[in-house]
Amino acid sequence: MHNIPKDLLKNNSNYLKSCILYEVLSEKPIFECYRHFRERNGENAMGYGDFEYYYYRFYNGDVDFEHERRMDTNEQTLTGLPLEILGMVTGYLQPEERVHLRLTSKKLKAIVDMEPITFRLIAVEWTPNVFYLQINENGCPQELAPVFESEHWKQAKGAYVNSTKIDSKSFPLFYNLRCFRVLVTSMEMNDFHYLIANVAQNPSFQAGMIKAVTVTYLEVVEPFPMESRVENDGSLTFRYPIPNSSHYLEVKMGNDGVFTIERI
Amino acid sequence: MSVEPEVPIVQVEEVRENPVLYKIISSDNHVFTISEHAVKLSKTLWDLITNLGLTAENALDNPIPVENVNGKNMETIVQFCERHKYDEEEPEYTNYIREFVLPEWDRQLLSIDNEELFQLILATNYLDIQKLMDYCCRVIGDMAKDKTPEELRIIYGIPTDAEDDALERSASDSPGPSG
Repeated sequence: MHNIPKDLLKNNSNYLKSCILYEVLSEKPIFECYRHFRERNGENAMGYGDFEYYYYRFYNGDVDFEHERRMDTNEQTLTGLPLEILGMVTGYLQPEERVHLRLTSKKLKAIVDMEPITFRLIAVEWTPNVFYLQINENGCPQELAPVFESEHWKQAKGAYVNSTKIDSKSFPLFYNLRCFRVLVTSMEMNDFHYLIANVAQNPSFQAGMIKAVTVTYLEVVEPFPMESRVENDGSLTFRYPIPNSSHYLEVKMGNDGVFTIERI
Repeated sequence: MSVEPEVPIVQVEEVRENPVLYKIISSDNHVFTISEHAVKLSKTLWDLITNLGLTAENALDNPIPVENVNGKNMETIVQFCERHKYDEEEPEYTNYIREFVLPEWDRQLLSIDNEELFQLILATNYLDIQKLMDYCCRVIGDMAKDKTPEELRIIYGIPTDAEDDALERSASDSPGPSG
């Protein structure tokens, strides 16, 4: 065990600068360097702003230990940027990073929430223990995260769910979407009827497709007054009038367990 | 305008051809020359040049004062614009998350501390240079990769709720303008 008085070193500016220079030469990312610097010299050896200042001076070849950072009380920080610019910055963050930024303070939460995000695609896949969530092109496995309760799900324009874990009891999750494609292990016709009735009341609904491995026809609670016709391939096509509208839903029930609903 | 600067002219990059050149004076009186193709990347500067009616003949005799941008930031901006002056136009942005790879040259240019970077963003916003804005925001966004909320607070210098509240209280306690 050495006998070097670390507290004394902490107040020695040249020593701290040489530590920073050492970190620059390690060529590791800056925050990793800062973590290492703090592990060596203590949590309060130097704030990140000062560390970063010297780090980049040295990084850009300005190795002058005599130079001291000018103390400026009006230091520009992220939260000091105009709201309009902050909103732009958060537009470059991935969803997970936005969540982390929201958790830093109430102010940041409000700023992050100002910038709406629209996803091209949310795809969810279950394995027995893990949820695989894909947002746009980026995927990440998660421990059974409550994706369906998230704001992202509620504001999604469409969903593609290919899972061996859900059945038609999950249909209410899709009532508010514009379009969806869902694979279910089993489907009860009553659930399908409720799905039709609910998407008919969703003004943004366009189309949905369900592939059911098995379909059970329990007694239908409330049959719909739907016109039907049998197509050449033996499938059934129904027309469900949308209440208070001249539009209707065209419901096709194929022989292969594929059901489609389309707003016409 | 016939401001004769006392500080030496900063020639940021040798120009290959013989383009029209403009002079820009930063808030701290540094003078920069910039080519026509490069200055067009700044909507603000190009609008100013057009409105002032500057031409190939009179451009160098009429330096453009930019009082909101200091020499350090202007040097970075001029370097950036000269580097990217022949780039193809970017496709229009959507409100999807913006994904692109930051070129290594630009990453080096933007290897500066946060305070400088935030100042540069303000200057870029004022001069309305979309591509540089994208790149600056990308650099800030990249800092957040794989960081916890507490680490983000350190990196970005974000005050805690308690600190924000204390700041607000002290602002409301301080005497306002009389009258």
